[in-house]
Amino acid sequence: MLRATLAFAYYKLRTRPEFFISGFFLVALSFLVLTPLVEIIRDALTYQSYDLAYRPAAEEGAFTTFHLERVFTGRLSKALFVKPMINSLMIGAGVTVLGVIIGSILAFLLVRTDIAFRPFFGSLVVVPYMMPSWVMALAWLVLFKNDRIGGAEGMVTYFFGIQPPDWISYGIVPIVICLALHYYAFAFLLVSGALMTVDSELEEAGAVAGMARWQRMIRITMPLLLPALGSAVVLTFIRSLGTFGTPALLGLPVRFFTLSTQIFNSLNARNSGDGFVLALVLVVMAAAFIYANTRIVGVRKSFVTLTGKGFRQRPIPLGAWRWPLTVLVGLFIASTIFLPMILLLWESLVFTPGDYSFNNMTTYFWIGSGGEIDLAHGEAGLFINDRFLSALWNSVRLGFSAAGVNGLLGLLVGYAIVRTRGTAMSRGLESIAFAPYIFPSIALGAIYIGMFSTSYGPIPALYGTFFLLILITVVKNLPFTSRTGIAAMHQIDKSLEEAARAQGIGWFRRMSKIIVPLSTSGIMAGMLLTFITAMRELSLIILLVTPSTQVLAGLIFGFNDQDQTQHAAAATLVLVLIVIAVNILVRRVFGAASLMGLRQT
Amino acid sequence: MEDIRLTGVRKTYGKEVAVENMDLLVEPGDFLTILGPSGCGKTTTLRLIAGLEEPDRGEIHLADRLVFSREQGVIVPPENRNLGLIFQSYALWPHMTVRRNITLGLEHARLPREKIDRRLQQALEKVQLEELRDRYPSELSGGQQQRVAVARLIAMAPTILLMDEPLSNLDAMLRVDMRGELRRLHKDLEATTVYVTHDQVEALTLSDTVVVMDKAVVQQQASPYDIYHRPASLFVAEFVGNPRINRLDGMVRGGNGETTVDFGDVSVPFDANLNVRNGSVVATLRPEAIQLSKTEKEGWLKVRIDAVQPTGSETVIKTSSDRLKLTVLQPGFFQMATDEPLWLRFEAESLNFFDSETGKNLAA
Repeated sequence: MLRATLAFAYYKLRTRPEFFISGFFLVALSFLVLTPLVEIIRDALTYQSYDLAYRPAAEEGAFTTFHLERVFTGRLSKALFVKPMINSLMIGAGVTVLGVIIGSILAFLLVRTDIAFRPFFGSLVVVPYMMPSWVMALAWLVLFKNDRIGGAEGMVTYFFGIQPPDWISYGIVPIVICLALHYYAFAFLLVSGALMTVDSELEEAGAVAGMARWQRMIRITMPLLLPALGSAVVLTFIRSLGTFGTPALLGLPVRFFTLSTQIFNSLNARNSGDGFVLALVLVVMAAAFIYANTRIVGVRKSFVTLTGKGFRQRPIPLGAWRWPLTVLVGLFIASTIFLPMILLLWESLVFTPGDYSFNNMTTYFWIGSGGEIDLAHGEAGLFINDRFLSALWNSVRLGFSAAGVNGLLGLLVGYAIVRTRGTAMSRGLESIAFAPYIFPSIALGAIYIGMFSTSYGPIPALYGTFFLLILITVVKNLPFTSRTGIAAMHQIDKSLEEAARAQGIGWFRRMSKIIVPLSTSGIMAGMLLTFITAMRELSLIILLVTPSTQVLAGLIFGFNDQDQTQHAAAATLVLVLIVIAVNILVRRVFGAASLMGLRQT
Repeated sequence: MEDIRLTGVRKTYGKEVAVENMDLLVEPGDFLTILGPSGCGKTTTLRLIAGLEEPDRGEIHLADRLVFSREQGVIVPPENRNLGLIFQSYALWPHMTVRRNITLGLEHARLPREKIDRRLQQALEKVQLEELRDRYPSELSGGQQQRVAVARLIAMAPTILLMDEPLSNLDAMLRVDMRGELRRLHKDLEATTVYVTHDQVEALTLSDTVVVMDKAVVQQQASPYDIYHRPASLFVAEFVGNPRINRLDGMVRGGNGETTVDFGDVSVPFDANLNVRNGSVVATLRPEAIQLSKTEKEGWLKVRIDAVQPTGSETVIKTSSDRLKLTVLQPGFFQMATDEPLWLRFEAESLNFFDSETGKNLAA
């Protein structure tokens, strides 16, 4: 009997690898996603070596509520926790309101009305999302930098001779504006996806029933958009909560802290216990927000995959408003894409900072030989700059390897989840793959520092290795790639594989000849998304990079910190151009499916 | 020596029993149809034979080879069962041309190039699709896709053919043509065939043997003639046949040395040797077994007409007497006003009697 049981277990393993894959990833992903959480909870509740300065009598590793007290009730609590928390919430709320409004209006105009240049605007309007979120912040500084901190002032001062007040140059106002001009893409993609699935006939049915146009909008269209709006709100809020680059660039100079920049500060000061407590606060806030949303909108609806099935939609005529609105949208797109690019290009060509006149222009920061101590710390021009070239190479390497790993993971995890559908294993794997979603980027980075700074079980200390950067990028993007993988697998009817089985074709050949070719475009979308994220992500890896593993985003942040604004601007331009070029290339080769990856977020 | 043998096979999904204690024998070269309503376990049975699902217990033999036994730890994967499978959805690989769809399995079997080409050519000729070999499935009509699926089977030349409702996606006209094609495929390959359907017309026209299933259990396995004329249970009697069979509730009455069944308005002689519980039986009567007259005849039952439904070649007439409701099927286009009276009769031999509680055929 035992022999028979074993024979069956072996059979399942050999002929149904989905069970094996499921089990393997369930264990591996639990380790990568859940243990870090346990680890930082433990670190937050024990003495760290840094704490011995305050509590000489304490023993490292002993249980303590020291960090909790410091953060939540102590003398420093106001500066460490309360203020950053309020700032983060205000930014989250501000960005969400502004971003969702902008995104929804754009979605409505571009999907449902007869506004001019619809396809052209439609493809441009998501470009700001492909750029790093802090590009806008850098451009903002080019325009509005004042004399508050050292270095030269921005264009406003140069051309108009006035000092922008602090609240325009730094702090919550520019942070909210810059982030909203980046994150509106979520609302745009989700709402336009939902709008595309609203059949005009539904609204016409309302018209026949005697409803006026505004009534149809409120009673029929809006409720159908509610799940998409809910997802957009959650996504925008969580992302802006965990973002680091923009609050750092526009907040730190005036000591305006958010939870994310405070975490960065604490960990940089080796005060990891406090940092971990704050990271946990971010995780709990994100989880609570997701939970509230799923309760309000409904679990099934809130993360529903919106597939744009083509059916008849009659564009709503804008009448006299058509051209004014077209111009307005055109101006918006120009100011979110082309203006920052032009500003950064200009900045990169300025010789003496703060002087934007034509005869002050130079290509020194692109191709100059460097070596002059009082000029940008002797840093050479980008194209012959070893630091830049190595960071560029690292970024590209990171982007491609993380995208490759994620593509494979999306394929296998999607396959395993769909093929073992209905089992506890399938549900478990799906939840685990989705779990990184609740970790704000900066918190996940903090968690990985805590976990991998020393050897952990069979895994050596990964801190400082390039592998760790790949690992965290892969894990952070897993929710999206596994979702695209699942969606791709659902498109492949089970009978296609069974027909091959009956023809005597084994698993590996079924995968390579049938499953992989049929899921390519979906998987490519997930990979593209990972590549874009890896290239531009600062929040996730800022805590983990070291000089030898430095990537572009980190280098740019460093340049800016050293007041090398021309280098920062030039490097940012290169980064953005690479991301856009790869995006265009992939969409050319694999079709328009690549945008679906974004839509499913 | 059977080609397919299932003994004591049981399959459950969680608490739900899909197939219960099934014994099934299929003779070599037989065309066997499993017929039943949706959810009766017929597709599961097919998938168990194919190896796409594993039974909880029981044994499966294919061509005298044991391919499944949980007790003995024997299990042969579908890849190695040498089966041909046709799906409801045809399961053509959408990213491959007709040619690749047919040759993929052959290439995997490591056949030499010339042999693959020859088999491809033969298969395409047989289904008359030679010109379409470089098309993709999405560029073909439903009937052509079906024929590609058939060609894919012909090329592999399996000894056992399994078909899961292969005609249900086709429109009515095409379905009749394809029925003939599938029967011919069965003959050409000389393959033992198991065909799953919920369509009784397909079952009766195609098969050598019909297995009727309901609620995970085999109700009857017999020739189409016997299934129709000697149903083993009330379920089989009512499931097979269109229009639906007439059902008459009757009481057995003895006395005067003659046993009869009384249906209220009529009574017929009854075999006293049959074991009847509580004196009540259920009888069934095919609509076409009823004779009808527009004029009164001695000993015939007078009925009212409730509805007349001509379909062209034949007419369905719904009638009722004081105690009975009877459907009559009459050849030809029958026109009649519903207020005219009608007289009916039928032979007692046309009746099948069933136990009123278990639904089992009393003569079985």
